[in-house]
Amino acid sequence: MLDLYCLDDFKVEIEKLSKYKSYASLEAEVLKHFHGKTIAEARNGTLLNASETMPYVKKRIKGSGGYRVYFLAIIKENCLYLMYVHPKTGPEGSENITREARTEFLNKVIDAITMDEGLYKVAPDAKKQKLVFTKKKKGEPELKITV
Amino acid sequence: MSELVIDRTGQKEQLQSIFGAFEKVTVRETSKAAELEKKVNDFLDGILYRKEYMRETINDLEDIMPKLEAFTWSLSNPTEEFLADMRKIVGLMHSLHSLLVKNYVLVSRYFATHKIGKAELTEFKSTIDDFKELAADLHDVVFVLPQDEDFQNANKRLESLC
Repeated sequence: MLDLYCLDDFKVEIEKLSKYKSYASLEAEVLKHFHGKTIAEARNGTLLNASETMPYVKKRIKGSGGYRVYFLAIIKENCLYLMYVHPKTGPEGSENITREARTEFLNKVIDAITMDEGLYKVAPDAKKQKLVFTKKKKGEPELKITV
Repeated sequence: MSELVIDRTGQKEQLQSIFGAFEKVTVRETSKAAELEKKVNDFLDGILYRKEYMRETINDLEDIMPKLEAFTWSLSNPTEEFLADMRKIVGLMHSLHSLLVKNYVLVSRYFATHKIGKAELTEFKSTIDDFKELAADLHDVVFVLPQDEDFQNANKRLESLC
């Protein structure tokens, strides 16, 4: 199974969106698509950077009018980094993100991996409905979270 | 004679008028029943037809989109022929999207008049919006991002991680 991390941008968006009733399913949907999956299972979507070993992917979740998740997978390390999420519809809905934002998120995740800071381990809560974010400390090996 | 006393001649005229009205309504309802039923059925068939057409289009687009996304996974060293095909696909997607929007406007006008099919319309609109978004993404991934200096510099940084 893959190790799931995220950037602060992803965590902030989840915390913001989870306050809306219309996005009540978001966290469960993220878990459904990424938790307990292999990278091969999780990585489908639109490949933005033509790299099969370190794919930067935009993934549609919950079908039409659902959510868009941007992530980077590092196949060799078996790690998947959630970078950003946005809904397509509702009060915080947006059609797409800009090309500049796509580049910015890629640079941010590279910085976070290189400097080993600004990353959160992502895991499910006891009911497997909500996301639990645990800050990865600098130099710390993979976090072991027991739920 | 008191005004309250019924005039027999007037009474007869009133009764004949009522009988006449009954007969008129009865004849119309009898003769037009089949026509009315056909019109109601045609109306309901029209609604069902439009709902089915939207469902079929939603299913077809949902089936096509993952296949289009899959093309982005085979973009390293693309041939000229592949790029030409992708350009054609993106063009076809834009043309199809325009047609779908036109049909959406027609159907939504019809449905809004009769205040029906809101959920189906919303799903149809979301799906054609997704299709347009995918056309834009494919265009970006195949033709724009490979030429985008900032994006390619970020990719070079990414490659240096390994």
